[in-house]
Amino acid sequence: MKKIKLNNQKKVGIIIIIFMIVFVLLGFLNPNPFDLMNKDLKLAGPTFRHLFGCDEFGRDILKRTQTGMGISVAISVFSVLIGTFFGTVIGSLCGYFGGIVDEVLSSIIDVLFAVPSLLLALVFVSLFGSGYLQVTLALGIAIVPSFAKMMRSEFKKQRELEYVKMAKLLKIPTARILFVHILPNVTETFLNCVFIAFNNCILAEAGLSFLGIGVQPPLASIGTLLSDGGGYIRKAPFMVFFPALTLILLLFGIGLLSSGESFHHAYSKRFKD
Amino acid sequence: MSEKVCEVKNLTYYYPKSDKGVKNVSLYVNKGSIVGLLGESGCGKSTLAKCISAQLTPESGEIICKKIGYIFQDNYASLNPAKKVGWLLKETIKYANPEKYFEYEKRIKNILDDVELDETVLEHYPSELSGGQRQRIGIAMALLSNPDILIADEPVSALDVTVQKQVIKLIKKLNERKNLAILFISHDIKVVREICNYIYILKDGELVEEGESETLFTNPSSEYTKNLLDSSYLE
Amino acid sequence: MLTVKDLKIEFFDHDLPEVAVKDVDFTIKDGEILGIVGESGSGKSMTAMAIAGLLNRKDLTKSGVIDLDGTDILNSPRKKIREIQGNEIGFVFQDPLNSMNPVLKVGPQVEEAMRIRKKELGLSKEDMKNRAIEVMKSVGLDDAERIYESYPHQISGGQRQRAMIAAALVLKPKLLICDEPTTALDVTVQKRIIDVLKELNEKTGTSILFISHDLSVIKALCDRVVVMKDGLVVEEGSVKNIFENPSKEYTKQLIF
Repeated sequence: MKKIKLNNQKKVGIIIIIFMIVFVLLGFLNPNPFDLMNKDLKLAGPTFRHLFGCDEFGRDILKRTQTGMGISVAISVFSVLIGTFFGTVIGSLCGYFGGIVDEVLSSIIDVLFAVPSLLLALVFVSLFGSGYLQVTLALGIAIVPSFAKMMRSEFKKQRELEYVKMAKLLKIPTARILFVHILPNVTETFLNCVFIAFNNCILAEAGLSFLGIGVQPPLASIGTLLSDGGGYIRKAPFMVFFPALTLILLLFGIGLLSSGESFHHAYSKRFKD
Repeated sequence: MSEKVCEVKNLTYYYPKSDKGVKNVSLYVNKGSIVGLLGESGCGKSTLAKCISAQLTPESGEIICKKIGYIFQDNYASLNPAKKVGWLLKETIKYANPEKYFEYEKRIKNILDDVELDETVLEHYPSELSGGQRQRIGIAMALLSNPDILIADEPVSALDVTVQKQVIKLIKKLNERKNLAILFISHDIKVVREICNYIYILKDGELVEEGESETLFTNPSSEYTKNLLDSSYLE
Repeated sequence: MLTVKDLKIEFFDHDLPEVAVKDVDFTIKDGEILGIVGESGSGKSMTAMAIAGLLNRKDLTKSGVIDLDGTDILNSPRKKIREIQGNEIGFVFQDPLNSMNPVLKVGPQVEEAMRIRKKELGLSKEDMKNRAIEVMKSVGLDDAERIYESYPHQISGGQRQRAMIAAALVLKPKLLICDEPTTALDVTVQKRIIDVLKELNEKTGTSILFISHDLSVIKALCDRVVVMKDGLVVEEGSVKNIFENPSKEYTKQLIF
């Protein structure tokens, strides 16, 4: 009876994202290794063997884009998981209980909010060294405040509704009220937050790698590819063009998925008194 | 003298930083009777209900009550919109009556019979049901905890007149069959007159009048009650 | 003065077209109070909105005739309808809190209809204020000067609703449409509003279309009544007839 109704924007978004997943998975079939250097192919343009061309060390850009995309997405997925988990827990506690719990947790969140995520990542990297684990963790923590704020306001609204009071009267455990009773009612905001956070993560990771504090060579991420290609933009524009194109496509797909009318239930049957 | 299932003595509750609330209210509900609590908006009738059902902690006074079932006014918000009716009933049994959880299917069947619904509603979301059906589900959920007294806070105010009548009939039937006491809270004189045996009238947090339904309507003693009766275009 | 004939309103915003109102016919004579009674989903509010010319939406189709003293409201251009609204038809909504702008004072909101036509009517600021206060007093707002300077949240629900009635009346419309004006109010306040409407009708001869789900209020106020159900007219007649011998089973159920 309950269907999730998809509008056209969401359909296009899903198609683009499936396309990107296939693109990354096809990397396993690509015979060119991502770190094999070949001085004969230095900055060679696209050919049938190397569809996206080769970089300044003669490495295959297609393969590097595919692995880079995989790594970027993996980092973002895990950061979003971390951020979502802590954000939802903190936000729901703040919104549901209010009072002193809300004040303490909210002030911590506000302090976190005041620190730019880039700075946070820099602190992390300088403390624990650079690498994708640190980046994942730093990005994850950077997501928590905004997520917690959104969830807080949603839970605060839901708390006032009578079904929650009913659950309280039945003495249902609070954790169950929070995550079994209320959470399904805020999925709309929840999903939109996840999409937006994911988008920001991909961009932030690209930015960090661009600054050289993310993924270390010879591994690639979309960010390192762009920063490497930047130096050769006149001689070999394809070095930037193809990774940038895939990044834009992915972000566009996610953007479409989170845009427009949100997911809602379509009901086919109604009763009348 | 029949047995009291709920008694409130000198209850006082003020909302924080305001002079609104209930002031020194005493009332009782006998087993098997339907007691009405009548008043206009802001008179404190819902506050009183919340105090009795322990949603609010009164400042002073005493509440002695047996097991309470609670029916909310807004039949839309009182059912979790993300869950199917079957799930809601199951969840209620699980927490209100855990020792009977093993036979929940039988319990659900019985309770649906009690509120005159058939089993097709179990597979639906609350938003797919009509207002009357939703309110019946609300009553069913209140009944699942085997209460001695049912507190009904404006249970029919959000419904159409014809549906109101059906729900009132149902509440009356439950009262007769199960000998269930009911505290019926409403602003609607017509509804209260239809259903209640004994009536308390509340104004600005204080009781202004109480009495048997018949005497109160034919021979009101306080000025406020007279005004109220006069304003409601009773036939 | 008002004739509604074969009114049909159909919605297209869902997958299936939905008929909100069908085959609705009735008339309102000069100085008459007509009640429309029905439950939720009966199409009574839709009918009222159509008469007030408030159904300029793309997702519905309307057919039939709504004739107000020779003007066909249903098929007139928007500009013409704007002229009629306020001038000849006043509208009072159900919820007095939501139908007022919370950040503006009550006075200017009562004056609104006059301000739009300030130039044609040649009204000064003083004139408008005097007129507004005069109308507010006529609907039973005794301290109109204070209320004129108040914000909506500073006055009670009954006062707000009377201010809204005043706002609908400033240009002396011939027809006042009230869509459940007393539903959100307490009974004692409701009685006062009904009394105000009755008095208004007797004094100025303004016709009133009063929409309600509550038959007893209709009985207290109206001359004639139209009973609607699921977009159709079930029964029509004088209040006396409908109450003493309702011919339809549905009407009997409505009478509490």
